[in-house]
Amino acid sequence: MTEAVERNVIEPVNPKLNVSRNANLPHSPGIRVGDYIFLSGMGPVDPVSGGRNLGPIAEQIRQTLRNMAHMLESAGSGLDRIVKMTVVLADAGDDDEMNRVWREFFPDNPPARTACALQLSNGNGVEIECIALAGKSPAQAI
Amino acid sequence: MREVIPAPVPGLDLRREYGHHQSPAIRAGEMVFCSGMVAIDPQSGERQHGTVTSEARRIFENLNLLLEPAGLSLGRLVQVHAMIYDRIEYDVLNRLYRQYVPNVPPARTVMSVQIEAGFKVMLDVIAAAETRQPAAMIYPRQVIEPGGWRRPGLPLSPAIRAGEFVFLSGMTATDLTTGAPTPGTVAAETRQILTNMGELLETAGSSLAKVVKVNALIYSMLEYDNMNSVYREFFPVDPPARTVCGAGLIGGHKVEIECVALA
Repeated sequence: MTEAVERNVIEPVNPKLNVSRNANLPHSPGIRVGDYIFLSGMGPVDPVSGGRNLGPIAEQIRQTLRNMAHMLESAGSGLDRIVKMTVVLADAGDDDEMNRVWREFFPDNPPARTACALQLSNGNGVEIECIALAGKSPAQAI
Repeated sequence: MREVIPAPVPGLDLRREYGHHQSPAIRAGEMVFCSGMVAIDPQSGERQHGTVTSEARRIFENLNLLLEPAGLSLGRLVQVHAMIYDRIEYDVLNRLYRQYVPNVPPARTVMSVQIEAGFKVMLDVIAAAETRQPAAMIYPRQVIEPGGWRRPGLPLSPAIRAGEFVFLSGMTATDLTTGAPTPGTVAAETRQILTNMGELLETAGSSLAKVVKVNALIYSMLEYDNMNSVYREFFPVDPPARTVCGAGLIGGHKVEIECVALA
């Protein structure tokens, strides 16, 4: 027996964080397929102004992770449901700062992660994407 | 279930012409994982170097050819890693890209990397399968942490099992008894990584034979063959879908490999 696999777009509740819509880019903020959520690469966008937060790298990373939390929560999931993250840094030397911020956000049972250093646009110091499980964790759901 | 999606036309099997040790695509559970695609003539397998626009168009046409016999279309794309040789061409890529995914486009991350053989574009794609076996429950999220491993205190888990898949962190060459990096040639680092990867997968109740998708980062695509020659030993039959690109690695490593496997 089989069932159809649904494919649905995920949008942030806060329209300022809907970067692909606001800039008319050809990608969705995220896609849910079956039990998994795939988010597009996200940068340090200010949730109030919609502009870029190009402060110190640690602050850029925090901003991006807060935005990611918002995106996942908009879809009924959350940071604690992330299984895999891909991090692109503009500067490979920022890995210590990245890890410092990661410990703030993921003190226990952090997701799997791959990080590398690549050219980024708009002066961004970081871009992060993730794959998460849909829904709240079973413990919370009860 | 892990099922190889064969190349519907000879040119799309990069093993044949170029010795790439990868299946064109693998279907597993509710997902289809495609190998990184470059601009190849679907019949002859010849490379069709061109502009970002012409290469991306060729790739989308080839993706259609590959997905169609599996009952899928571009409308089923879930995630795209759009790799371009230079970020300055971002707008050029977008103009062509939006023609192929006009409605409800997939999630996407654009990455500026070094692509094999001087190509300007490579698309690395995950699509949603049409049907699956019904799932019984909300999946738990389980950290995989091998008991005997010593590893640096980084805030990441070696692997996470989530439902039918295991997602592994990018792995670099490491001696697991000391946790120290073991820098070496691309071949030596690849061997160390894939040996460790096999062990990690087995801790998770999986194995190298159940890997569906590999992403390999190397510091220079000039070393592609040195990675490939070792890589093929670890996946003797029906190799996983795979994407390889050149990127800046953290910590002075030459190779970093991540994968998704069936649990």
